[in-house]
Amino acid sequence: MADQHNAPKLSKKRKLGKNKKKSWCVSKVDDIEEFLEDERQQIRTGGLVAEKADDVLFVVDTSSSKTTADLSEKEPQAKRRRKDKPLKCLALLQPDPHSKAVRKSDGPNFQKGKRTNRILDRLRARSQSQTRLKAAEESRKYAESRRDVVESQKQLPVTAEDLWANDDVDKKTFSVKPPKKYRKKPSALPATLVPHPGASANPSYDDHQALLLEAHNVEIKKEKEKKRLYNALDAKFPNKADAPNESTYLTEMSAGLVSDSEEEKEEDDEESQNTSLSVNPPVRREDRKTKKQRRVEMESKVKEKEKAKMTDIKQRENKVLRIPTIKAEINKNERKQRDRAELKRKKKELEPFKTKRLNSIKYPLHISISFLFIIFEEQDLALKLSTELVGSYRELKPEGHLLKDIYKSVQRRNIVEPRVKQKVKRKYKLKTFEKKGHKAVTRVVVHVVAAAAVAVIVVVVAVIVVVVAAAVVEVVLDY
Amino acid sequence: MGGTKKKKFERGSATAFVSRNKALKKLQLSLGDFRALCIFKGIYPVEPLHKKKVNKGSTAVKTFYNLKDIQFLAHDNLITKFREKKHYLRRLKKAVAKKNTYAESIIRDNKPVYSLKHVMKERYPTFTDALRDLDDCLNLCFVFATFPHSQRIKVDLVQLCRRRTVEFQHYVIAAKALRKVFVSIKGIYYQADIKGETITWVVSHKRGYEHPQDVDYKIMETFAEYNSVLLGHINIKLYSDSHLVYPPQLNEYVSHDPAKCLEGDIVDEHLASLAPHIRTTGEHPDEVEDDPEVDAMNAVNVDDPEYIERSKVEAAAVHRLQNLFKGCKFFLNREVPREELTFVIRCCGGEASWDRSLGVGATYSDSDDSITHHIIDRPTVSNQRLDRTYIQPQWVFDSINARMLLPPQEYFPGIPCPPHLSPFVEEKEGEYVPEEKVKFLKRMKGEMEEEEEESDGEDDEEAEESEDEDNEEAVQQVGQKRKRNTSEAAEEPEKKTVKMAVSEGSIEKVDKQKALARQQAEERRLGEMMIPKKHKRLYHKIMTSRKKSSQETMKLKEKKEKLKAAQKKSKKKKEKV
Repeated sequence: MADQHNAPKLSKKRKLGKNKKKSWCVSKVDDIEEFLEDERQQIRTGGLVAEKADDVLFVVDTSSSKTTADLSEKEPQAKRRRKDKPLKCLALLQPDPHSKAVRKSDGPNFQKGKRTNRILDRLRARSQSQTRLKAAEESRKYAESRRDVVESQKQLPVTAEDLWANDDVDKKTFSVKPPKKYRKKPSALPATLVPHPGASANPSYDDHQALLLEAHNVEIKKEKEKKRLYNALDAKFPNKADAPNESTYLTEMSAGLVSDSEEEKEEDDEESQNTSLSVNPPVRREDRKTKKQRRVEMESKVKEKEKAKMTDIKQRENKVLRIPTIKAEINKNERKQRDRAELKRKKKELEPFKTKRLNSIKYPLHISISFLFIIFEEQDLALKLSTELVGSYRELKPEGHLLKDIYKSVQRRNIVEPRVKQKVKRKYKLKTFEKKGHKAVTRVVVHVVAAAAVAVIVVVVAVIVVVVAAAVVEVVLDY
Repeated sequence: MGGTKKKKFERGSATAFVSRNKALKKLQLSLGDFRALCIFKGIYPVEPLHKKKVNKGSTAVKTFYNLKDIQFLAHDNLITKFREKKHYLRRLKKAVAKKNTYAESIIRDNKPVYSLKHVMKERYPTFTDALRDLDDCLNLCFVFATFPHSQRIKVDLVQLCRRRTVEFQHYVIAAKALRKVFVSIKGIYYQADIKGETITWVVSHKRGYEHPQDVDYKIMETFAEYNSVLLGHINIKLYSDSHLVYPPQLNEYVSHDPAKCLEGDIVDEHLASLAPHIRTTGEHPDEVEDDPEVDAMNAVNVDDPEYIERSKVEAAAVHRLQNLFKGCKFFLNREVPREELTFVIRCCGGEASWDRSLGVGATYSDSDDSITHHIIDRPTVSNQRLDRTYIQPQWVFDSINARMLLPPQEYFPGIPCPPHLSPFVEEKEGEYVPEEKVKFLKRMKGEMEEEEEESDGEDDEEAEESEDEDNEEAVQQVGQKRKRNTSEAAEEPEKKTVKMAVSEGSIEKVDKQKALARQQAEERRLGEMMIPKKHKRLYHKIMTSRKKSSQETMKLKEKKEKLKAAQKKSKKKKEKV
């Protein structure tokens, strides 16, 4: 029996043609020989193990039974189970036994070992050739020489020597002459705007109040601007609910018309009668002017002309007397011009302080140059409220960020045009894939969900069936 | 008469300007590179007067540049460097994508670099030109020096900015060029006088900041790169002019403390602490600036005696400021801003140190007997020593602005300091001077005319004290208060010594400023007589406007006095009740 069970079998994988002699015999007899050898050994040392009885082979172990019994007595079973169980928090950290390890991508040399020695030898021999060696040596030398250069290049542009060492001597003309206004600054504003004294870490009461007032005024101006915009846009172009429709239009247009509608009607009638006919009466023979009439007209015209001429001459002669009036007029005009020029000059003086329009994005700016400080209202003034003031430097919380101030100042001084940060848009939607190895977990969930869904559907169907059945019964009863 | 018909937009302003897109096309650069090039070369966009003409009939708002400027840009060698950079990036990207590490390393080694030296020379033919741009330069470098390393901002640039700013601060210390300090809620504003140019810059407080998101970091980085180079060149010139060794080196050997810094950074860290003196080239700098007389004679208007007198007074004041803390030894407590205070103290000739455990650069410890001032920013002091003055940090800043050592009584720890006034405000003649400023000025004179001030400000003091003590005691006699005052004074050792000292009789001093003022007034009166009829009207106009403003001032003053009187009355009533 034992022989039959234990005899080595031919592996299933072996596929050989049965018509070939080779497959007739068992080619691998090592296992069989090993087995037979083992059997012989057993016979030699005390009989076959397979034929022996159980109590000959095994002994009941009585030595350690006591201790285990004691242990079990001491600790209740539930506690022991709890003790053996790993903590939940730790168990959660364990990798999911269902998930497989992610396959690493093959490195660049993953087929390296597959190259045969023959090929490797050939390659080795080629690399040992004289030209190769020479090239390697040259490249090594080059790398050495490059190292210093590379080190120096890694740093940002640095200063090395005194640029203005010989200021007076060196009046070198540059190869390209810079444009005329090259060194002119685009704005007269200072780079560092001195803050309002109220922005001190420990301001005096007056200064602080002045700053608060300044900020208050800015806010009011902003509110005003908001209101103006509302009046110009929202109030003028209301939304659909508030917009006038036909009925409101009619009532509005007919306001005050109802009481005196009759009079209006009459007038309208008259007007319509008049307008229907031509204005000019028909020309008749009797209406034509006579020769005399024409002559008299002509003569009167000439006379009038002459008269006008005379008066003109007279006036011109009398103009001498009007000199004071003319003088006054001229003075008035001159004064007007002067005032206008003054205004223009003042405006021009402010010109270099102004921010120019350099882009479609408008830099919101209303400069108000107060007595000492140029206040730019486009930025929220940095300030601390009275309650936020602290006594010591240690507790001071700074306002704003200087980088932002510099950025704004650069824009304000026309050095850079204002910009709006562009959002990065994706051309196409991203697709998401699930790795095969990680699907197992989610699949379970999906199955569960699906099962639940099926159950619900089944219930619904059952209910429908019941209802339909009831209806059918009713129908049947009607009949 | 005929001639060819003029075509539109072929001459005049239509051809003098080019839009940005056109400029890009002409220079064959990307927008980013073009921006960088413009920043480096100092080419700015312009707003043409007649936009419709320039824009060929369209009124759309565009960014325009002068054609001449663009043509000038086209000649610069930097353009080729930018193009090389473009190719470099393209090649590098390809190699990285193909995971060809060997090619990548070679490409990286051959990264194109550019120098901005010629640009500097072109933009600033003389050193004063460069100094005029120093404000911007310092602001940006100081901001960048505080940045953490991020994806956007390279660590190299941050470190470079830090080094340059430290170098600059050492120069200001060595030259004693600092003039004004203003601690605002945004940062600390410094004003220095460097080679006759007034330079103002801001340094942010040493706090954690949330970095703004609505700033174009690429542009700011380009600016920072340019400015760090410029600041380097300026530093070299400043150092060589004031006979200092560049790059700055320590005078003494310092030992390495592995807990504080790496071994390679010892010198840098010590320099950054601003405490040690830096090495000079050995040549002794001329002592010209120390002598106000000679300085005055060097001035431009030698003929004008008034100008000379004024400049003399100014020079004396500056000299006083430069030696303000001479002989003073400061100890900074741990909650006090170390770098800022060290900088300003050393600029005025003082010395500063701190606890050895706080950072490198500490030269003496807390227990040193020669310490004169202990700066502290906490309400209570433990283990107060009698041989030094405990003061709040504001005293240092206020003293510098006042150009004299202010009496420390009002700056003792735990006491709310008097307001920190802006030194950048200077009232003109006849304008309203705020009350706080008047008090500050009085305090400045306090040392000289202590008695006078006491008698003057008696009422004020009473009012203030009664405010403070209202809760404690409802009714108090004036005499009692006086007594308490004296007892307080007894606690302060310094004041006591001053009172006990026997002072030598001195020659009556002629108040130079008063004499000057008298002389000026007389001269003005004479000058008024000499004004020709032609300008007399204008002069009177100016004078009337001035009078008006002074009248307004008077009004404000009266108002204030009235208000005060009313307050006092109400207070007295309360006391009586």
